[in-house]
Amino acid sequence: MSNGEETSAATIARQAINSLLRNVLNSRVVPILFHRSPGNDNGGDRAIAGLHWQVRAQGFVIQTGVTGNDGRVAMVVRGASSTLELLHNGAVVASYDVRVSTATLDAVGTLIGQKQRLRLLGYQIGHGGPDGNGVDATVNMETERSMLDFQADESLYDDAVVTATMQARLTARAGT
Amino acid sequence: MQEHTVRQGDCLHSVAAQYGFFWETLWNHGANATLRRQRADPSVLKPGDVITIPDKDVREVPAATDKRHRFVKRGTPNLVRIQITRDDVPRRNEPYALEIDGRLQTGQTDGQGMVEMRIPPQAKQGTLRVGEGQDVEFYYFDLGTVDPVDTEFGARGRLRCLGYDDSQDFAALLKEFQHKERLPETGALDAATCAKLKERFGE
Repeated sequence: MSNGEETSAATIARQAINSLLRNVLNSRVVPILFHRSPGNDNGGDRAIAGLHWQVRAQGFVIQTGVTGNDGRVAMVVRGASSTLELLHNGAVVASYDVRVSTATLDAVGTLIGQKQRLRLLGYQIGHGGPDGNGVDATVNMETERSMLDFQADESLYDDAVVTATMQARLTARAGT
Repeated sequence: MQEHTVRQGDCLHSVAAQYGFFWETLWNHGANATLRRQRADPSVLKPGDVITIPDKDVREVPAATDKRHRFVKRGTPNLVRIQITRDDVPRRNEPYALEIDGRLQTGQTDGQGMVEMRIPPQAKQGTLRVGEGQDVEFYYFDLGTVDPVDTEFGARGRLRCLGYDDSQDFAALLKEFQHKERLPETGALDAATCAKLKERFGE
């Protein structure tokens, strides 16, 4: 804006009454699934239905909703990031900052890629690594425990050995 | 004759209403020929643009005293037409509520995800709510703030509306758009990029 004013609002034109032009408002959506762990053997009862949620961006509530039977939120991210808040009796009980990044996870064949997915799925992988989020290339007790937990939840042979089946399951569960 | 310097939020429609003219009168006035060539679209002006406001033709109407006379002001409403999409897919046949400067309109988006409302030419702000129940989304917008596409503010505004993260560095932002649209990733606001931006945003 040439007068130095900042705005985060969308810009829309006033059209002449006979104009055929339109302005597009497009939202980027990040699919997020709320699952409980462990579920039953086939994973069929994992989705958390009936969660009340809202999304905030730049101080405004930009989206509200309730999860359905699939536990899914099609979360809108505006600008650099948005915050997804879970509500209980109207109060915020949990919040997640979501940033859209063109960077993808490391390959599932690598230890870092496996840890990234375990973290995404809510397994405790500790606080090691450069970002303090547990994602690094070392195997410690927390790494082993998270892998055993995942294998138990997925009814896989539990020996903390990352087989091709486990890699495929990690990819499927994390959605990437 | 006087001159009006465009500020952010002005467009030809709002300026015409402010001085009591039809927008066509100002747009087609000889003194504004340069502006018309430069901008091509009366809805998209740049702050700093100068609009020449002609003197009014004063019309006299003979009217008897002690009688009632009715003068009708010909209204020139404007229009907002917004297409709502998610990941570039129109939100079709969804309930919406559109509020502009305190006036509320409710309805359903059409088969192309379009919402349309008549507005006074000087309307400034709006809020749009789309969807119901399990997923409701809100949009906040300023009217008349679309700047020419070949300016940084104009390009950033369009990209923000299209869902891009406009908090990033301008060249990086343009490259992201160019990558998605399979344009040469120059990071510059070149002619091909401007044309594609207009096509996507609609103006």
